[in-house]
Amino acid sequence: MSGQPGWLRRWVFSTDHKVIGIQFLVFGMLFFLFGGLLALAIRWQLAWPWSRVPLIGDALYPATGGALTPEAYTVLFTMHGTVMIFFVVLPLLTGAFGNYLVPLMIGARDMAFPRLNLLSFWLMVPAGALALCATFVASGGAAAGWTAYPPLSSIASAAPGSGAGQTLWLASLLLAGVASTLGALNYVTTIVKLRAEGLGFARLPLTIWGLGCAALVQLTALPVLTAGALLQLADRTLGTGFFTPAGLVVNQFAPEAAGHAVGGTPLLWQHLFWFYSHPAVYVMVLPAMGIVSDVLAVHGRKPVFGYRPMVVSMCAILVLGLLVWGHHMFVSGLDPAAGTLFMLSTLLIALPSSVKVFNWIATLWGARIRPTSAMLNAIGFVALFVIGGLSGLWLASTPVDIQLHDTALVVGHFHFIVFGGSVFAIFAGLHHWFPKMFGRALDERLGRIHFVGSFVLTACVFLLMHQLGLAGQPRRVADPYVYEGLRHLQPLNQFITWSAIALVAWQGFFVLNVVVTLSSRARAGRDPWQANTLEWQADSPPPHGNFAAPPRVVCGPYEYGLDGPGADHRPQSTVESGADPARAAAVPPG
Amino acid sequence: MRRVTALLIVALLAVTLASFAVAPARGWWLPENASHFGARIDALFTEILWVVTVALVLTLGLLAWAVWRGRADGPRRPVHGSRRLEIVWTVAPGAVLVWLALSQFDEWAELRYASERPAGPVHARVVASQFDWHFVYPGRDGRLGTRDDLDAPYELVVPVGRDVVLELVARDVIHSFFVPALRVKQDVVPGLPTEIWFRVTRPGSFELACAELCGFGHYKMAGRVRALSDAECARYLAELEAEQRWNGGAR
Amino acid sequence: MRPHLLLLLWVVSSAGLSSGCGFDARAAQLEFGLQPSTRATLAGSPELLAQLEQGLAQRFGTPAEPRDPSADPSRGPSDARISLAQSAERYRVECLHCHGVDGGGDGPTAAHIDPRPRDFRRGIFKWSSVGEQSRPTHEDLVRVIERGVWGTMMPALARLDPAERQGLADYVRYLAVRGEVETQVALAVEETGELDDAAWDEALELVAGKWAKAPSRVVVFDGAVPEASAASIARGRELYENPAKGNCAACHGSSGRGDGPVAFKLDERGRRVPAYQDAWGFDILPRNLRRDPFRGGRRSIDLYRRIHAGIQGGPMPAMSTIMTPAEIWDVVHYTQSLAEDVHPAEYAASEER
Repeated sequence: MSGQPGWLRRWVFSTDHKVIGIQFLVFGMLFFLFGGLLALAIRWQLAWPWSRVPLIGDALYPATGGALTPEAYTVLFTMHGTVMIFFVVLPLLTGAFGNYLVPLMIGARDMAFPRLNLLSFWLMVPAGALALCATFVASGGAAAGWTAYPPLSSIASAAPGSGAGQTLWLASLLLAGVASTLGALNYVTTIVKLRAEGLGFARLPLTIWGLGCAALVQLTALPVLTAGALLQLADRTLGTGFFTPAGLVVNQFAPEAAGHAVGGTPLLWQHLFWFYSHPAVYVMVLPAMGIVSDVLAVHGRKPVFGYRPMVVSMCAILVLGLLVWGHHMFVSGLDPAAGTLFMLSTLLIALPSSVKVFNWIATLWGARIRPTSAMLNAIGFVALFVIGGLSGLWLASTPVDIQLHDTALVVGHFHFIVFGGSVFAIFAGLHHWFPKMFGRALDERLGRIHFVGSFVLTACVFLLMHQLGLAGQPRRVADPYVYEGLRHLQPLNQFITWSAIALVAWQGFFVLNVVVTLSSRARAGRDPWQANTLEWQADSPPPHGNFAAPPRVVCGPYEYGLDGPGADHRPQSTVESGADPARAAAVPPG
Repeated sequence: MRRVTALLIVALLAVTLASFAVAPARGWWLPENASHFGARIDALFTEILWVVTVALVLTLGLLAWAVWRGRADGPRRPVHGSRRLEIVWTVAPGAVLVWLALSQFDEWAELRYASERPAGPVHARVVASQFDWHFVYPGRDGRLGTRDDLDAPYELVVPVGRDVVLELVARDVIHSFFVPALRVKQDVVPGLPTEIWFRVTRPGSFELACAELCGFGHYKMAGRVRALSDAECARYLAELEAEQRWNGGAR
Repeated sequence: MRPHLLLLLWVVSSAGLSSGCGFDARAAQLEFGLQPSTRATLAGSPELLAQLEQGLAQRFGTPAEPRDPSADPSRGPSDARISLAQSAERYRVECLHCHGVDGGGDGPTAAHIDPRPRDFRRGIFKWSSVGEQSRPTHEDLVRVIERGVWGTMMPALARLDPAERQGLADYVRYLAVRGEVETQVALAVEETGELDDAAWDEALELVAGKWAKAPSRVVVFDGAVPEASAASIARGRELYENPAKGNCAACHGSSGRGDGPVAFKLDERGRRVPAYQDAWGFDILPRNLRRDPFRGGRRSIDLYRRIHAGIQGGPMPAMSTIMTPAEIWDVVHYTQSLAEDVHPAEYAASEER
């Protein structure tokens, strides 16, 4: 190649994994803002149903005098779920962290398939654009929930959003699915083939184990959802009837009379959908678990407690995670015998998670904690994840789930996992790796303010949803107070809404922090945290190709808290920092 | 900051426990049960609640304590793990989880396995459609789908103290028959008529909600289940029958 | 900048933003509009249109402060526990998103619903107890509100208090009267070219008179409802098929599936499309008597009234002049047998046994 590549090649259509990682980061954060605003609109309706929505109501809903319409509410929660899962948490964890960290942490120059990587991001962009179209399409945004259960989703007459909106939604899901599959393929290949010399599987940082297991989940299960989405698309556009039973009359539309095939079953979709979409929860949590383990070790100056049990439990989650999808279907008409089996597997999957929690606590036990923002967010992750995990026990129990399925308790439960868990891990990871990504460390005081407020407000928003669910408030209900037995819950809902508004506003501190940091001139240096893993031996930010010379790994990633003179830690490779290679080689592998 | 975080975790633990402790008195809790197996579901719920409470206090307590005393200049501890501890905290929760699983089997089987369906005819057919519950009783001939069927929207009337079998049918999309006070929830799937059964233990009128997204009017799909004595039940059905035979004039 | 200063800045700016930009949950501000037909009638004279709109507001008020110049005489003072304004608010929450602020059946959700939400402004209601060309009774409206219309997206609002349901019926009647008066006045003005109080009074009197007559127009069968017998069902079937009598099969099909020969026509591209439109201009198909719920109710008297008086606003004709009450009952019995899960022949056989 001659000369510098152009701006487009360097920043837009780059094959450099770091650029693509940061593209995913920006992409995910923009959608995070969008999804958060959707959440606020949902909360507004639940607190003060059918009142004028502030700021946007008059413009968007003139026919009702500025109040939400019921169908607009269904669009809100459909797209909130879709965006947050498929365009925020998954791209941030696997897209941003996965791309940025995998080659760096295993000492590779780039991904195994850089151009596939480029394609993966540039498939996500139209997928995101289609999701926005699916929200705002004039004939009605997609409104069948992020779960898109047919026939509500597959029969165009079933809801205003089941027309063009749903088709766009499916197209978006398909593209995002293909993009994620390509990414997963790339991560697995890269981790298996491109590890630096001396970096055996037993020396991989847990972040890499988490990202790798998540990628394996995606490789195994995602094609099933993609196939399901294709079937639903066919039902909608080609007149097939995979999910359409005979004898339906939806809003005067009878599929048979219109010449559509019938004889399918709506339950088929639920199996196909949850076969991936339940494991997707683990895709959102496994990398988070890895990130948190690394952050706890680095900022606690102590090895991760029980490295092997941590790895084994991740693999157990990977395998069991593929066998629990039926717990979403206990009351769906699933064969009760299958329900029994799914209850067993679901209770079993709590075990590896609890093993991990105990190991994190043991890691922190006697740790020399540096209360950095990264560390605080990681500790916050553990605390909130524990609550989310434990409230899942009720939902695993088939008889109790009869009462609690599809109530606000479920919403509280999984937000503790996905917001309290994954999002706090994302913030921990961002604080931890920001110096590497941008060469400047985020401001610690702003970071702490952001953490404390987010932690408190997260509890305020999601904790009381458990009580709402116990009292019987169903999910996805635009006006719970049509039920006499739920009217006394309105003050509770209003409290949650105020907290949610504050929580979203509080994220301004993070934005502010990023702006302040990026505009500052202070440089963070190669290794601001005195960490061991390979990425800290590259420049901040690393140049194209990452390492000046291929690193040679001499020990495990968690040699912290070492006794003796000098540093309390031993980097995995000391070649680049100029240490004597002979001395490094003499150290027995950890 | 470290100690602040430890305190935050303690506060989170305290608030979590408090939010469950104060909930029953404020009605932020399971509504008062009115079905024969509801008490057993509630017992399972409470059993899990205790497991959750113990686990929560244990883990968050240890976490907070570890954070509280984790001074940055404390002694160095390059500890990589402990096989004995790993075994303890794998086996102990594992045992609890297996015990939890075993304690659900019977209830679940009794609630759902077809072999446990009470003998006797279907009390009523529940027809769900966007956005309405409609109830069809078999009428005098005891058969559904005949001209002497009796029907009513919104409110289902069932006898107290007797096994009630319902047939759930959906005309258009998936709905879910959810009566919180009876601890009953079952999706109503088009093309998949489903039977459920329960026994109401006290007279009363219990709210019925749709618990599966069925379209923009999902929230409007409210109904009621009214439990009456046998005599009142018979009187209600007789009234419906009289309506069937009404000539439109003065009553 | 120091973090605590930034904190202060953030709190102040977000508070300022939220209070400054209409962060305000006041009740919705709604206004009545004019019907498209009125605008078409008086398209030539924007002055008269403005006058008409003003006059309507004067006499009928606004959604926030509705006034009914023609109170329903069938409603005693003891019934009026809920004010029209309160009912307007209830209507806004429960009904408006389908039926629209004017009751035009044109709320934001309406376009998606089939059959369309009722447009009240013509005063035509399908599911009533009254004879041809009559306004419905108060009880008819209450019944539809309470039970919904099974088989359509009109839900049962039985969860509301009886007084609230009656209040909603009053408000529906109010919207209907307002719409009818608007149309009457517009027609009168088109003829005379001027709008005076007399035109208003005349229109009001005319419309209120129609509504006042409703209770006297209720269709009642004189005597006990006859039992269905195999013979009656067989006679009903003959009447159903007979072109000179019921002629039901022409639309509803000889199998009752709503697929009779005249129900459809071919459009210019040769596609099979509904042959009929309802009074509001939407395509309409005959009921599938085997599959669909009877929207006006499945009591015998409901079916009797549908056949006796027809269905207002739709192509279903009144049969009272063609068939005797006994014959209507035969058709009712046959129709009921069509709706059974069991094949009618089998049912008749089992009954005889």
